[in-house]
Amino acid sequence: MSNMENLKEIERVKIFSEKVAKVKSELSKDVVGQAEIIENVIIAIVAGGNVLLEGVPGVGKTRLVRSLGRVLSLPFSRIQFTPDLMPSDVTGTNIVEKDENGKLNTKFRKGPIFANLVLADEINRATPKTQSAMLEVMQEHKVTVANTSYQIAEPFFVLATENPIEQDGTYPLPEAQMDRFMFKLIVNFPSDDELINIVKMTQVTMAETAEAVINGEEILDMRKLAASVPVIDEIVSYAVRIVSNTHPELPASTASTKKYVKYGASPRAAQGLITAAKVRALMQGRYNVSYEDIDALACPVLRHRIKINYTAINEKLGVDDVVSMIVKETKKVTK
Amino acid sequence: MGDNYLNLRRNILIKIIAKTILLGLSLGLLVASAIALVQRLIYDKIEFPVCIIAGAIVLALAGGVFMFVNFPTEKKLARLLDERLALKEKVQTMFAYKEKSGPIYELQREDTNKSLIGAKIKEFGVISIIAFTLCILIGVGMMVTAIMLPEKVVPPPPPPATVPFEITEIQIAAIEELIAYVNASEMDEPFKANTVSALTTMLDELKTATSITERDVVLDKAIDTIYSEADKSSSAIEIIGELWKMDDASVKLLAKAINYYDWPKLDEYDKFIAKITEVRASFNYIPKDGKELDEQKQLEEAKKLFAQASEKIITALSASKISQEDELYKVLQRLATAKEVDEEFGTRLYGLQTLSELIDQLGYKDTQRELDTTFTILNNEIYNVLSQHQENTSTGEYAITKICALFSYPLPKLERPQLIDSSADDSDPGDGSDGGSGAIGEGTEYGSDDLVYDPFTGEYVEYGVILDKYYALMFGKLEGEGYTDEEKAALEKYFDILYGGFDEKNEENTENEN
Repeated sequence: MSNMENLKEIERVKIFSEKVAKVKSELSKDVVGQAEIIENVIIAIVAGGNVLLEGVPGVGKTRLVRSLGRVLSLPFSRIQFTPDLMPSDVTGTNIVEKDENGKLNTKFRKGPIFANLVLADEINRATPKTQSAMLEVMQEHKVTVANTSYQIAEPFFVLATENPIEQDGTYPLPEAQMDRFMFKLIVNFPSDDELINIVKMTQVTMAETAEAVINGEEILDMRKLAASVPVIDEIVSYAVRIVSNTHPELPASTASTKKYVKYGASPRAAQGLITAAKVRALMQGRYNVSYEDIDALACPVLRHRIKINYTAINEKLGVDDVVSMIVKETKKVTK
Repeated sequence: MGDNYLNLRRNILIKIIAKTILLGLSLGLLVASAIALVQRLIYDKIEFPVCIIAGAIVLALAGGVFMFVNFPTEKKLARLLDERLALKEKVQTMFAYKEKSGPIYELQREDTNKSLIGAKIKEFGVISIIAFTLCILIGVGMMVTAIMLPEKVVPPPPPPATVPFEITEIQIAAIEELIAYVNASEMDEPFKANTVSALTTMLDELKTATSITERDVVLDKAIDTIYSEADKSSSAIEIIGELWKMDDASVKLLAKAINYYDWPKLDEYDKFIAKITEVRASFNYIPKDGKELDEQKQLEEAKKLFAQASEKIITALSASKISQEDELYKVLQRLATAKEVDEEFGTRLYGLQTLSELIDQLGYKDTQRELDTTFTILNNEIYNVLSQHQENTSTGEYAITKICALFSYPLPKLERPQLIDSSADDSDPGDGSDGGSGAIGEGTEYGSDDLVYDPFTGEYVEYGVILDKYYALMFGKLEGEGYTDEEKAALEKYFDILYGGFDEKNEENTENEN
């Protein structure tokens, strides 16, 4: 690499955090508060992961995703998941149409999934059959219809939302589906101050004013850059050990795991932890991954991948509490 | 690696070395002081080398272990810096990817080095400083305590108990009786007077003594005086010693003869006589070849032998530093100088001035005969002198023994002259050429082929002839003079030896019996 190219590269690294700051700034125009959610969403987007947003209605989940679509200057589509939604309504389907000569031909009509940013609103309302139509596209970024595969343009993200309260007529996402989400983010009810700001803002206009500050190419470039961030073996081991420790069936798992966990996270969790940690490090203006990154991302990465047992529920422990315990115990053994 | 990192590394290394030394010193001091204090408390003295060695061992061990555990290897140092400076694994990453090149790595290094600028590691925490200070203070405190502790007060030994003493009437009577005994003894003057004086003074002082300590002082003084007087009254030891040193067979025989006359054993007389006879015989000159003798030549040889012996005796007497008034001294001087002999036995020796002249005038045979007579007289003289010595010594010893018994006082060692080892003299069997007795030699019979002088006939005869005559004479004497059986047996044994030749084993037995 020549000196010139080297300097360019260095410059590219340096503007990474500037771009992230711009994205955050634009999003804050439409979304009040939720800074952590915004940051984690950005991390997932740069890392190339899908995000599952969980929160009660009205906390701004859809607005956030929509604003994100604007800021990112990417083709955006929204799928409202309902029980009667069919897989073809998501992926698209072959239709028969006449050509100029009056001859009948089949033609694939792309569904809403063919976008760079897909909002899967209330994803748990769709039937498992429709939900499973999302598996391939979320993991492999391609759609197969009638033995024909269609590649989705990069970058591609699915940001799904679900409502934790209203369970009637919902279909819980299967574990395989859940595992495709890099993060599960809990969108909490805004604080009083945030709510006041939301009310005030919506009295003026309901319009979303965020502007595009980053395009798909730049996101891919940022992803590539993040992937090159160095991480020492000790931290990789630490991340792997955290994931391993979520498995109660393993002898080395922690006491909390054995007591509160029903089943543990998949290897995708470890991959997700490290990939996301690299992005987080860069976003913090650091050029190496720290234990702190892993600790910070443990809950978003693991909370939807492990299932707590009735002991934990009985003791009124949430999955985040259990994950925190596991992280703490792992850190004690490692350091 | 940047300069910042290297500076930090050096600083940390220095601080760890300093901490190691401080830790070692403080622990070493603590242990050394503890040992010193324990020694002081238990043994009342401090073995500083032991304390120093123990302290040095602890210093080396503690310092070594601490350094081994804390030595800043690259990995440890990186981790230490990350933890202490909250650098979020920057330094560890920098080391892990130090071989990698690329913009992100360069940025990472740049960022890490930037973080290290002005960074300082606070190696000595408050706890460490407190611990070191505490250790040193405790150590110094213990050492000062150990040194300053007052020595254990050893109670002075109690003063010797004064045991009262008062002489009893019986003791006074016994001492007076002892004084009377010494006065009545045949002890020589002035030894007797001095001994009596010592006893009288002792009695007077004992009457006024009030404690055992005083009594002992008085007794010591009296015993010393009496022992000294007894010692001075006998010159035999000194004279025998000097005679023995003379390189002359006749003189040595004389010393041996006197020595045989052991003071407390008067029955040694026969051995004394035998030795004196040998001395006498040593002045005979007997040609070895047994040819007819030339009297003039014999005279010359005898004169020569006697002159040699005389000279040695005079030299020995002079060297003994014994008073010329000593009776033994006088007798031996008379033996050595014919003048004295002449005065003593004037008519017998024809009024001649010296024995040499006597020999010249009388001729060989007559001289030998006169010598025999002279020696007989000298025997009596020496016997008398030595008997007197025995009396002096015995009286002194008796007095000392009595005093000790009377007051239950420890008896001092009373030294007596030791017998001269006869084997040193008799180991040379002789061959007659040295003018010795001729009793033991290389001859076919009785040890020598030389003719010997027969004092009964004045002729030279074979040794066996004269031996028969001596034996007959001795046998006659034994029958008529009232000798004890033991004395008779000893004499017969002596003649058996003369007849049978020298038997080393037999001789040894004889010596042992003596």
